[in-house]
Amino acid sequence: MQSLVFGLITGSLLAVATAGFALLRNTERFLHIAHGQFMALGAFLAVVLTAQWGLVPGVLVSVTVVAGAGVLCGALLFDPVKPQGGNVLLFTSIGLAWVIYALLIAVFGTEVRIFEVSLGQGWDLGPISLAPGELAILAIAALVILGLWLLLNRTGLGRSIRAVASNRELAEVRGVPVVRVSRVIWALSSALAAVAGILLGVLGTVTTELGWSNILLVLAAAVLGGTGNILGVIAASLVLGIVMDASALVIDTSYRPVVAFVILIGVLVLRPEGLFSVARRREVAA
Amino acid sequence: MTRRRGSVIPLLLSSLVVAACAEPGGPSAADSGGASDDGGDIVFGQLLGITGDYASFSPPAIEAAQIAVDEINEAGGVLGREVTLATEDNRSTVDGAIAGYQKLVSVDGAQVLGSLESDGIVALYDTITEQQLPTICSSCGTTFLDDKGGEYFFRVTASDSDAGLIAAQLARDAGYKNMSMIVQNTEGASGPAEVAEAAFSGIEGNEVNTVTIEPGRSSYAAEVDQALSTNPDVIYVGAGIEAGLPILREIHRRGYDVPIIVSPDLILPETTTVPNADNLVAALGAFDVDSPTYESYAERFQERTGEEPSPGLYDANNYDQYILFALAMQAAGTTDGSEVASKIIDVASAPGTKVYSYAEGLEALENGEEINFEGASSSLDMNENGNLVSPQLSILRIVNGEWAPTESVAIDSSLRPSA
Repeated sequence: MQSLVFGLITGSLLAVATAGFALLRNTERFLHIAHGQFMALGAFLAVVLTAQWGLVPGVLVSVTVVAGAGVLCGALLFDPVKPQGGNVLLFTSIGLAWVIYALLIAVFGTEVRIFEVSLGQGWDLGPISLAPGELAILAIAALVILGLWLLLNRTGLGRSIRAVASNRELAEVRGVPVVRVSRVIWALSSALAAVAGILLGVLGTVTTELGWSNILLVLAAAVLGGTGNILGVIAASLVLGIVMDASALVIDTSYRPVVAFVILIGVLVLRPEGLFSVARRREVAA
Repeated sequence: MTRRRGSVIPLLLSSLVVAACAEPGGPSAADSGGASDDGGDIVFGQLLGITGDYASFSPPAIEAAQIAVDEINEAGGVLGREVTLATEDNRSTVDGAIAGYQKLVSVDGAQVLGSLESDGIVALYDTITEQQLPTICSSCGTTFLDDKGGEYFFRVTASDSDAGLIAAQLARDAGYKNMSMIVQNTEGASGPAEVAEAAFSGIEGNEVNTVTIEPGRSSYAAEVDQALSTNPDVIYVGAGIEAGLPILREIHRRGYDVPIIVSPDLILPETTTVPNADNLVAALGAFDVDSPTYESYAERFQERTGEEPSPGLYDANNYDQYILFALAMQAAGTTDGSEVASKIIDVASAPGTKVYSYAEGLEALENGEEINFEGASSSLDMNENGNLVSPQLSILRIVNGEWAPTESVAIDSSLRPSA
């Protein structure tokens, strides 16, 4: 049971990060490798700003700044090369990842940082132990995911985003303000990265390696869930988190990341469109 | 003090690249250590983790190295030539060490190598031996060097064997029977942990539960849960700061209030702020604070940095290694790598006139005397394998928010697994 709780925490943070990644993938049609560095940027800004201004203002400003940075990067770096296709966008993102990584080292230094936030001591709830801070992290992740789902499914903006994801050209013909929607997507995706980075930092530490150490797991969760489906991605993230942490019961914990990638390879071989692909379900239904 | 992270493939590829690149411009066995007696400056190389896990250790290490180089040049240099310090970042990784080594030797023209951590030492052992580059490490505890040093590799810090034995000894002397060990899968962390595990479990009635972790995780909750599942009465955490901090906080979060023995990598200011800081205890090579060399060095270090030297950061060891290089080079009368390497144990160990600075050593050598340099970190007397004969060891605890030595300790050699 305890492993299940740890897995839920791991999976929920992965879900927040991967939802942002998948949102951009579905609409802008490329793998945003720099997403991990936006996570690290958010964590670094927050760890510095919360020490100065307190937890809530520090986090809000950090998320806003990262969202703004995402919009700027989208407009200035990615839009100009968009006509050249997904590969160019991918390599632009890889380049951006290294630039942000270098800037993080230059600005914040290489020392390990920790949030001045205590998660408290664990409550013994039957077979599990859960600290108040861990519960708060779970709740925040759940609220963020719920908020994203409501935005995408219950608002006009969400309809526009889904229209752009489904068929960008048709959406434009039908009067959807594609450029404005694109800016919103960049802001949302980057903000989700920042939130995930901050939560990961609160749970562990903040280092310049935070982005690199998480982007592969984000990619794995996105592929596992099927990149065309946000809810599938969230479910896949939770599955991945739980399986990784539950695997500690039967194999050495140092092999935990290996478990994630074994699952990924298995899914790629058996069901390359992802476990929760909408397209596949539509095909089957038809 | 380094990591085993990453697969063998990039290591092999990197080694091939080093080998391929080193031949045309870099030193070969014939060139002997990359040195050339061309009358220019002599370059002392320093390869260490300026970024990554060991970043906290590098600023004092670089300052200490510069203090040594300044002292050498103020005394007239080596063989009448100025010494310069070339420093490269190995990113606290094996592949970074290989790339940094290549640059130091081929581009910077380093004639000796200092400061490299354990993983880099292990990875570069064959290359350095082939290229005959005198190498001293100031903080590498790897047991790999226990019987492989003495020709081109020397160290001015305790072996991990000693650090591991002390950890087991501490637990034994406090009467603990059930130890859980959380150990990062890196050379620097696993070396002493293996020795501690073997020594502690070798005592009748003792039990050890070892959990291996990979660095770079956002959370170590599952690992800590596994470690606590055997209800240990003492915990050993052998990890870098990136993994160590969340592990220590996780142990506290789970309400576990037992002594925690930590590896030297965690003797850092950051660990003094964890909620269970009062439970932490560590063993570390100590500085010989009564030595005139230490007093002189400490004064200059404080002038430059505003800080006291710290055994946990190995700064005095970094100073010592470069004074040793300079004295060995002077004793050899050449910068030739194999000649210099053959003099390092001689100038560091008895017999010989005890000297406490480079200037004193230089004068004694010019008078035709044998010398025995007494370092700032310890006496530096070495055995035939280039390991310290009697490293200073202290028990450290957190007192008033700072790591402080609380007692000295001698190793009980009966704990050695082979004894």
